[in-house]
Amino acid sequence: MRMVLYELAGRDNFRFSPPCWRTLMALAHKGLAADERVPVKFSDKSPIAFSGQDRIPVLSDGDTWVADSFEIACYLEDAYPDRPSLFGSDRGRAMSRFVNEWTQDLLAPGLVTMLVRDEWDHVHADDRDCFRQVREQRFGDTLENLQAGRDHRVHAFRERLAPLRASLNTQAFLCGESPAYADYIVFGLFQFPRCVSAFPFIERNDPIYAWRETMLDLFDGLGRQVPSYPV
Amino acid sequence: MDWPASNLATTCDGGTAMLAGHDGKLIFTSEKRMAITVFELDGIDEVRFSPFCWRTLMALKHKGLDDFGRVPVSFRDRSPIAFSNQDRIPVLVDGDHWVNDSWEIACYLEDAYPDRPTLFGGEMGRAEALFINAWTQQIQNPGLINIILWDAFQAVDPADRDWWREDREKRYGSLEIYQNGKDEKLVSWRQSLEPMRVTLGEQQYLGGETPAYADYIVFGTIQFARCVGQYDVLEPGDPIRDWCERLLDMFDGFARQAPTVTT
Repeated sequence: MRMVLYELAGRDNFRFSPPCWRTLMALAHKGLAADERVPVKFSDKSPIAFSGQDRIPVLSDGDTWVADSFEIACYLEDAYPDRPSLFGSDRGRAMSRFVNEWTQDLLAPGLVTMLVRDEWDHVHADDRDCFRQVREQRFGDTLENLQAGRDHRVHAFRERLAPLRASLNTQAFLCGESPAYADYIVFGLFQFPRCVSAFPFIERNDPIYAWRETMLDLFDGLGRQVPSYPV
Repeated sequence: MDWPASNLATTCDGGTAMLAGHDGKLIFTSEKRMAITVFELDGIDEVRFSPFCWRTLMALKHKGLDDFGRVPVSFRDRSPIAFSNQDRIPVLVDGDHWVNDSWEIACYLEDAYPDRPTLFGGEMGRAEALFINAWTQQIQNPGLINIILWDAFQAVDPADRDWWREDREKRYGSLEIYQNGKDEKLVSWRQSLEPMRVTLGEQQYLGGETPAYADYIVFGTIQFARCVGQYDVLEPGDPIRDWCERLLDMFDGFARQAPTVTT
């Protein structure tokens, strides 16, 4: 079946959307690859108009389409049960949903506002006005002001990663001895700063940094071989 | 007093299970299962509020190991667990084998009783439960402790209070300051539970359609608050409180029937 992935894309092929990264990693974990990857802009979501909703990514697989990265992971797990499991079991799937919500909670607004000006630098040229307007309206300040002071705010962000750090002090991956979907959920979050900013969100002596390096090497460096900053 | 663990193994439930060898390693056996005993912290009027003990109690119930014995241990006098050469509670004794640390106990039960309902749902589930264990630690301490430390003190047996005050004040400063500012602290604490709240909007339990060890981990923390008379740290109508009610109903209301401080 023909598989098409609709993903958010910025200027010069910068791809920094956490949910899109989750789906890319989930596909690779299943040994699958989209036949076509369609870039979608913030300001023009007409490529996914067929889905009747505006969330990205959207995965189209033959006659079926799915939106929302977690739903896509569930779809892949159920549609391709003979390939490596993303969740391990229904219990693993349920707990992965918690990891998904924990990660989402870190992203908005905490991480988003610390990166919002850098992100603007990387959106598609056609998206710059739209992006600035929507974000400034949502957070009630200019992109420049929103991002200011992140040198201090990043400490609180790093502290909030304590549960992840504690897990990785005990085991190689969030999912145990080898990576699975919960790892991709959090990895997707960290691809966002890495693909838009030279700001060091994770310190090099943090066990999370070593884990992320391993994640970047997976699937022939799928996460590493994209336009990004070596942080 | 030093209780040799092996002396505790006196009754059987007729089942077939694994037993522990004297070197602590598990061995397969067709002998009848030995008795399980949990050493748990005891408070005033039999109020047992230790969140870690609750995790272990619920895990035992989940596994259907209903006939376990419960030995109360006071905060100041841990001699009942002297056999373990350490002072952390809970301690679970199963035949000749003992385990401490609620996480290690859950892993032990999962591995020793593989034919009974699973706590984790496989190795990947176990790994993810460990993450939830770490998340809960953050929610509980400093989060909840910061709000209910004074209330917990009121639930300590008067005979233990001097010991408790000295021990806790080393870590947290004067207990009296925890009587104040609870409302403001509650706002951010409740906010910190948001990932769980959203998850419970999608599914009945952290473990999915039925509870699993991940649920008992967080439940232990809420039951701690509930036992010391502070169940209202969760507002009525909060999906997390609804989830907690479902867990209180489980196992014939086992956790609901436990003594609590009345306020």
